[in-house]
Amino acid sequence: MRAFRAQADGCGALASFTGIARPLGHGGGAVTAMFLDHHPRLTLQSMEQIRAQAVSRFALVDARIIHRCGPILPSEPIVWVAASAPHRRAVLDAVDCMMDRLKTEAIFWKREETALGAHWIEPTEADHAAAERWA
Amino acid sequence: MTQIFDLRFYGPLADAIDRQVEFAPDSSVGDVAALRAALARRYACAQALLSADKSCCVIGDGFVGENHLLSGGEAVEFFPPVSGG
Repeated sequence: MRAFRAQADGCGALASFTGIARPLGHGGGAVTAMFLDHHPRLTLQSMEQIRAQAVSRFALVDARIIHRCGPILPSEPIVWVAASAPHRRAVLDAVDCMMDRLKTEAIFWKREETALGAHWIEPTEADHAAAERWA
Repeated sequence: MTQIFDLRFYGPLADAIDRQVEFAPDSSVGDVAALRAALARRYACAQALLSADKSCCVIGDGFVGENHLLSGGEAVEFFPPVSGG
């Protein structure tokens, strides 16, 4: 964030969001670990598309998306999204938009591991509804 | 001539089949739809995930349709529904 802020010369607003691995899974049971599978090229491409479209749509000075892949433990950070712009409405909406789109469009496959076994999860109805707001 | 495809799978498909497979279908396949059918016969446990309404086919980092023609030797990837980030 410090580095991002240093490059946001002249901006009146910065916003960021950090997504953290929840200790409870979609089914309500305790998650022991999560695994994020990804594609060697298309995952980054999907993230860059989301970032670039946010920069254009909200007239941002800059935006960043950093997303982990591989094994992730509960309470660890998974994703960090940030935006800079002259005014606050743009950065708040941009971060919200990028997160909603990441949840449904980014090319990741997420597996939750619990005491009852592992299962791959898909975006929820709520995730799709949230992304639809920006269509 | 025997067709051999370099197949890559992700997410639940990788769990069900494997991450990467060299696949020689029992009989010649001319397009993606035929390749899917051949895979579903070989890997019955992944039949549902391999269906066209459940997974996308990617060749050369581009999404292709069921009618995309294949000759053999291509690197073909199958994406199940993404979880998102």
